[in-house]
Amino acid sequence: MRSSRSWSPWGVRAGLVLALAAVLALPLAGCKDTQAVAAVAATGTQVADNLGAYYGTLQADVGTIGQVEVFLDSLRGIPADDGEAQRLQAIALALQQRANLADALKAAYADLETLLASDAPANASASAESLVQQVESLVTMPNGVDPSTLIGDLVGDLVGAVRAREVEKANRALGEIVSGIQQLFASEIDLYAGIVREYNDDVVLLEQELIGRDMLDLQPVLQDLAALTGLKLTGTATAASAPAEVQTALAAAAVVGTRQHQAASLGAARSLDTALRELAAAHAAIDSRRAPSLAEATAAIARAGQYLDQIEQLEQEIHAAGDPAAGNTGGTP
Amino acid sequence: MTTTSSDSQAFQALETQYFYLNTNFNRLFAAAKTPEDQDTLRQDFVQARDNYRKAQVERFRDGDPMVQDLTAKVVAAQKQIEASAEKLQDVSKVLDLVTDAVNLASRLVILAAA
Repeated sequence: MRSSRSWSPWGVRAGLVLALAAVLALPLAGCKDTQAVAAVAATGTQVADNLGAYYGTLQADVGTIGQVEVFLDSLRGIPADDGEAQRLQAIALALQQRANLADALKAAYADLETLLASDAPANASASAESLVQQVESLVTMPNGVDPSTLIGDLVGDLVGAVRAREVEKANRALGEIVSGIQQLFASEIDLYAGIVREYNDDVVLLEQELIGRDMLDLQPVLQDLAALTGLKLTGTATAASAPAEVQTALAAAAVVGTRQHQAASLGAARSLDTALRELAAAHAAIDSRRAPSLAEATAAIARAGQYLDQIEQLEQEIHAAGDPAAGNTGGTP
Repeated sequence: MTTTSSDSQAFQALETQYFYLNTNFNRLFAAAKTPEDQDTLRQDFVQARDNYRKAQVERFRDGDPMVQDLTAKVVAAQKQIEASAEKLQDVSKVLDLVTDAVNLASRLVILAAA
């Protein structure tokens, strides 16, 4: 695993926190259009929320990869791969940190929304400090880009903003953090796709392995296919009693559902990339005294939300298939 | 000019090799006549997997003549394996082909990383 970054000088850390506190506390006084700021904050909350959820799905995928690989290797008499375990652990850690960063960003936006709604002083330093901590603690994804090369430059901007006590610069700081997160996300999107591809491939192999050993019940697949015709199976039609060629075809159909997960995850990643980019652009618009346009960001969040819902639904179906209480044991060993 | 892994012909050749061995592992393993052959298959499979994982994060120079040459050799070797393994009449020959193909793939990954 690559070492964590050491790019953020401690000397400016306090300045970073103050700068972010300023972001959350000062825009009210300096921005003419608080409605625009409120809209950006509300959108930012949603983007951060979906971003955290997306990283959660990737973490779950990495966990599954580890389990399936150990299982398949053991079946094949292949010794445990310590290097592979370390690789997955490093990926899981990096993903957890990015999920934490998304949570901190959401908290920062939520505080900004509170300030705008109530016009009351709020203790925004906690969320600001948390956000700074998360940015500082980001490690490089295995084979990824060092985050400090994308977000590290923001340090100077933030310090400059807090020293000058300029609302516009402070407002810009949060937008630049979002921009840095977007660049990091874009630089890692191929790695995210690789994780999901690996997950997909491993699950398909697991299915094939278990089907090959006659350990999976293909009856639900047969029922799903019959349902496509709008008709019902005869009482005697079962996957287990079907001719060999039908069973082979059912086994092929069984793995199709797994591909949907891959497509949904890729769709979510692309939508989030767009949402982050548009959110940063909205911050920049306010900074240059233009009306921010959030239409693209809102549409992208909606798309990301749909993809994430689809992933959640697929996972629920998987869990339901293995839940004896649901009347389906997921196999007939 | 470099190509991201998923768009690269070299990557696709490595991916094809790994997935072929993964999905056909049980059949080849069952056909292997000796424990030594089975161990060889395990080692080749692990090496093919390592190659694939490394390839996932490499930027291949598909325009490089040496990369093109090695990619063509890996593709050709894969076709030979598939043809020989279809009926699996001579499993030792198939396993030798697998070992040669995996070695070619390892050289391809090293070249890509150079």
